Amino acid sequence: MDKKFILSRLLTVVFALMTVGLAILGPYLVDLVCAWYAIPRNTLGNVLLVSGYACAAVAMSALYEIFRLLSSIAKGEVFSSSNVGRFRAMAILCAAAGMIALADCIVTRLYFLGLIGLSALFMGLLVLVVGDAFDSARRMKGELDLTI
Amino acid sequence: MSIRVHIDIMLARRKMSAGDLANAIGITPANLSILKNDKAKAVRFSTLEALCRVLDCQPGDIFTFDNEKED
Repeated sequence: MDKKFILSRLLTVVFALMTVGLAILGPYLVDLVCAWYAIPRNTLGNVLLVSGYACAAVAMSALYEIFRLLSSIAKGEVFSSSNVGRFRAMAILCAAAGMIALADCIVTRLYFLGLIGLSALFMGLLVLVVGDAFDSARRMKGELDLTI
Repeated sequence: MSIRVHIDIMLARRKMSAGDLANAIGITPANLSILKNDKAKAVRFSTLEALCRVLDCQPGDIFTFDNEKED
């Protein structure tokens, strides 16, 4: 199998483990952020913690979709309807993470979260465009397969 | 698709098998089956040329337009 697919999937697993690690360390990280930015731990800190867990769940789902997408491409199934669906799912997950981060930014006034949220929304749009390109390629491949 | 393919009729008239035709025109039997069963979306000119040469006919003998047929 191509090394780039092995490495990509390995890194996806590493990122998934990192996400789990960050989720486990969530309360300590929130303590640090609250101390650094001088925000109340019992109110806004808890908001950050809950949204952090929500983002971790979204990230795990996105990483699962990426892993399946990479596996599918490695098997030679590139322009398939299931891959188009995976791209759309990833776009929705990016948008969800962006919305969570933007909501956090509004509630906690931590403006770097706004930047992260906007980046995630932009990423979601880009992934949606790539998904649409895959969908066009899938339809073209279907026609080409039936050209004798 | 409103285009009907009459390869099976042409083959029957010439007492030729589909496998022989596929070999003669250089396509796989699976692709010839797609063409015969009206599943093809397009036909290359090179395939059409080979079909006409092997079957000794005109494109109009192989394909007809059926206005009432829909898929």
